[in-house]
Amino acid sequence: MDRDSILASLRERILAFATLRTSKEQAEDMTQEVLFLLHEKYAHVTDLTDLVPLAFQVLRYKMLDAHRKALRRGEYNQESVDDLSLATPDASPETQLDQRQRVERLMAALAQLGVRCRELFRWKLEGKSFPQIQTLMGQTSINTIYTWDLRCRKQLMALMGGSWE
Amino acid sequence: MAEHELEKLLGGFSADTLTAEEREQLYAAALHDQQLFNALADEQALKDLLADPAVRRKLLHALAQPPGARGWRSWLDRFASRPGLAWVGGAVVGVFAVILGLNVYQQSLRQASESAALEEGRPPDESTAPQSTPPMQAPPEDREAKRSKAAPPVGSAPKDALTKPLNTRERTDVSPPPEGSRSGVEQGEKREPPRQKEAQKLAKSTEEPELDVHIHAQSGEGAATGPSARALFYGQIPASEVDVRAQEKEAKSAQKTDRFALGRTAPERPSVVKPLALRYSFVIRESNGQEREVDASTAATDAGTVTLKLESNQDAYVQIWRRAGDSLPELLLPAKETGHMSLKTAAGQPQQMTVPGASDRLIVRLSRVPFGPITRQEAVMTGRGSSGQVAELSSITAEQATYVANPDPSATELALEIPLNTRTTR
Repeated sequence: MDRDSILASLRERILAFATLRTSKEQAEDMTQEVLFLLHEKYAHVTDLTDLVPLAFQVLRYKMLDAHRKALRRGEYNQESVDDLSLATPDASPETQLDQRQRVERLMAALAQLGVRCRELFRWKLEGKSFPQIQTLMGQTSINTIYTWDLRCRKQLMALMGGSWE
Repeated sequence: MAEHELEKLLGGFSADTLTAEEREQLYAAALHDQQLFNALADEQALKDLLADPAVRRKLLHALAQPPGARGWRSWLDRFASRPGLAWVGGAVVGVFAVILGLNVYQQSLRQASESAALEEGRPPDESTAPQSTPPMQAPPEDREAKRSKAAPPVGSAPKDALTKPLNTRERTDVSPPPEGSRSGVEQGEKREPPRQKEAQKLAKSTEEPELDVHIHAQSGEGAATGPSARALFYGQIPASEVDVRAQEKEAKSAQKTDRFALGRTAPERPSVVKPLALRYSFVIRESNGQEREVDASTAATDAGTVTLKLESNQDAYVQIWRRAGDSLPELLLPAKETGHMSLKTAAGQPQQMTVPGASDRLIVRLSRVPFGPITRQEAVMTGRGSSGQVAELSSITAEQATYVANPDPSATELALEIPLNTRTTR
């Protein structure tokens, strides 16, 4: 697939995804911003395996940004501008706190998993691929590893409250 | 791999462990499958989190911990949650309740054993006896001397007792209890609680500073450490204090009354009743025609008309018997003509009666309930009074009266014998 066809497919998928989470106008604006960024800033990224994850990353940041803007504009609740903190180049204290809390929740959830799931996650975090994990776990079929991983991930997400956020 | 099974590769996407082939398959499928695309977009949050090396190290460290430590941490995490804290709090309260219950149970057992030991006339087992600082006690020689003072020849000791002013309750040791119950009294003294001492202080403090109180006579083990009869008569000792005293006496262990009270249920506790007390004095008419209160000794030597003045601290029934020599008692009050066995008297309302000239002694009985029929022999026995009864002669300038009281609020009757020839009372 060439870059244009990949971007065309991405536009369709991103718009549908954003529409599920926000209004249609906002979703169109957001999709446009993602594609504009991919086109202007990441014009050198052409490969499918690089472009698609990059699009996911940009999309997530744009959605978080839209969420914060809505907060600032008082769309969720009215808040005085004077009470808002000044922007800094680093991650805001809110973001840092949010990440720290997510890590703590993730650790607590991991601690409640069974031995097999814990082993699986440990090897994944160590950077081992599914075929390597298959060997380590002594399984003849890679699909077994995929299935175990899917179940473990679902269990982990449930322990985290149904979302990675 | 079928496209619908490509979701299984999502785990590798977030951990970034997919092979090149798996990655290409997954992303190509996501471009044509909205559901897979959405799943990948949601997984991006975890992917971003795991992209941080510090977070990865932290998670790896947590996963590398041994199962024991993990289990412990898991328990800690569970306790940190609200339901966990509620369970822990409930368990702690339960444990404390069990400990408290056992403690109260042991206390009650200890009290019961001490009570049984005292009833048998032997000191309680040292292992179960309460640890308290022993009171100041005179050496054995002194006690012997006191005992000899307590039983002097008739006619000399009462005079000493009347003329020797006592400002402290320790002087009441001059009339020790019988030998059989003395050990119990001494044990009672040893276990005298601070509350009892406070009550004594209260009784003293309520009296006027210039009041010169003579302890005329006391009987029973409660007399050694009991409250002032005068204070009891005037209700200067709170009823609750007296009530506690009665319970202490019943338990024969005054030191741990409060703990014991915890173990008792409310219905078992008797209601607070004012202790029964009376005041009596003799009135003589002087040569100038004026009446004057005198003590029993003065009244016995007076040649004129002697009137007995009696007053109770509450509504009660009274009987006064007269005895001459070895003859059987004769009921003076109420008079035979009335046909009654009891004379009702109101609180603070004095009753007066002329004392017949040939009387050796008078027996006064006071009761909360009307008296029933009684033989004259029984009247002799009842005149001896009950144990724990206290008497006190108050010799203020204007008051020459004797107070008799029973600190035990459950006591329904008070009895005393007033000797008119030996000038002593009990």
